[in-house]
Amino acid sequence: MSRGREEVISKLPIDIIFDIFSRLPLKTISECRWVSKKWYALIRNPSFIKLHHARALENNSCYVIFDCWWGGFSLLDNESSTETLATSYEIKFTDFLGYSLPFSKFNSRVVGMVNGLICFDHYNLCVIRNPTSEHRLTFYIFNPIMGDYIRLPLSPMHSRMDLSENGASGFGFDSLNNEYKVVWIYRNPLEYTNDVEVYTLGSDKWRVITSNVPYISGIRKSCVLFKNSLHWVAYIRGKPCTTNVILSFNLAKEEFSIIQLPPQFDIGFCDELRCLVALGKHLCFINGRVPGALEIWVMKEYGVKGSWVKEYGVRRESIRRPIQFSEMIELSNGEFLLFNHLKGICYYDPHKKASKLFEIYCKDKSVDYEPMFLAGSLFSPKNVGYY
Amino acid sequence: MKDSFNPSIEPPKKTVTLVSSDGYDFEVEEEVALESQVIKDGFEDKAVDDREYLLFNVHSDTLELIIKYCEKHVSSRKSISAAAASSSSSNGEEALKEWDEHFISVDTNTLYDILMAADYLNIKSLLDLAIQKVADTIHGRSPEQIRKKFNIENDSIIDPWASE
Repeated sequence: MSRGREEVISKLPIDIIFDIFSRLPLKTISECRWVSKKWYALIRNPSFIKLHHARALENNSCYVIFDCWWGGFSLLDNESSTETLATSYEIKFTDFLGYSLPFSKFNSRVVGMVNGLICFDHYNLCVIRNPTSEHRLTFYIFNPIMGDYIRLPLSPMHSRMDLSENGASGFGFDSLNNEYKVVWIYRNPLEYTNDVEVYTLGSDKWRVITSNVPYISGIRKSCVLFKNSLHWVAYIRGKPCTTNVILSFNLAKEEFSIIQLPPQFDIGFCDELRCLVALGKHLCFINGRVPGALEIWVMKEYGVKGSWVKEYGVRRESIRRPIQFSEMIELSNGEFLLFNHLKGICYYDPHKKASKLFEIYCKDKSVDYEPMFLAGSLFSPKNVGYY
Repeated sequence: MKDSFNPSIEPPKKTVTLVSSDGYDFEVEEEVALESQVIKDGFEDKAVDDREYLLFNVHSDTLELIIKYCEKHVSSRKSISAAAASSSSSNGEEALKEWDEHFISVDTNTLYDILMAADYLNIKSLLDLAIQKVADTIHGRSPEQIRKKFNIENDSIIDPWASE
């Protein structure tokens, strides 16, 4: 029953096609878009994207690595490994950002990432010379796998001059309401207030949040998404001294709350060597100020101060620089995957307390070198409302 | 009356008749036909003397393959559970996997027919096998290689890497 040279795949029932596609790794499926118009449409189908994402999360099969010094994306294929990982390769995204985003990577920063989408902010430095020109701060949401991005509309508040010093922002997914939100906190030291604005993807403007915004005298820029809330390390001025806390923002309720850090870190300068990460089921605090090791403090019970436990010590030789928010992830096999700034990636088995260094590439060892992990997806920031 | 129970004499196997879309009759054992969830679901409703299934969507060439697959799986399951019962070592599962692998190594059109038939007859393990086969075929191939493999016309307008 020869049908000659005729395409058969796209004639299959759609649920079978989606089942086939969802078994493919991200690298393959993203390239499959270019097979034909029909395949392009199939791979862009929202139901398929959701199915693929669910499967990818189950297997934590691959991660996108972003290197903001170099401005490129790579893909780390974690597919075949059940134990310590085997293969990695670079894909053609290596210089994608450099020519594709309409802003310089040097003035931009990763605000946060979720579901394969990365939020960048970008400071327009020209404003200093010419205050009447463009707004100073712009946000972009980018999918490095699909090459899609959107630029968020501007808010008048974003033109404030001292924004970069006094502001912090976050990007997260509210899984209760299926909404992506960008949160921007502006600290006004003259008026002792914080202004907060929220942008929901799919809407067209920023909203000001006024209720229950605590006054914080400082806030770290990197934010961690955990349990439907965003988390920053922040400082609250008090007597006799300033205390370090975790400021959290519930994405569904749009309310702030304060969570205590481990008692040892309540006071003192909480610099870049210390940060928050989300590891598996827990929110963790990394202390990189200990000679010879990197301490990982685990908040066993979310929000409970007494539940902080120092669980892991990763040997310092395996990590050149302190870990920042998403330079560290927990794999489904219980291993940690973290960045080594000199040579590449390090796998750490917390139970055996063993680490294995894994070289990917050596690039410039700059202070701006800030690679990070992101579980890639096919979601497009242009139509988040459809998923 | 006691004679009616005699384990040494097997009762004649019950059979059903499957009719392919091009009109060929296939007489298969009941338990083989029951591998298909669709036939199984319809089975209870049928009158005892009406054991004929018209499979309008399955060509005789494909039906032959499907029956071969079901027979193999029914007999393998029996021998695996028999080996387990007598706690003798068995590599039945391994052997079956190998057999599956060999079975599904067919050309694209045949694979398509098997997929459609397995979907229509709702034979889950076969459907899964065929889907995985297609995924494995796509895996690691470039768009150009995929087009060639599956006879797909290149109407893609935007391939950013094509010019590289």
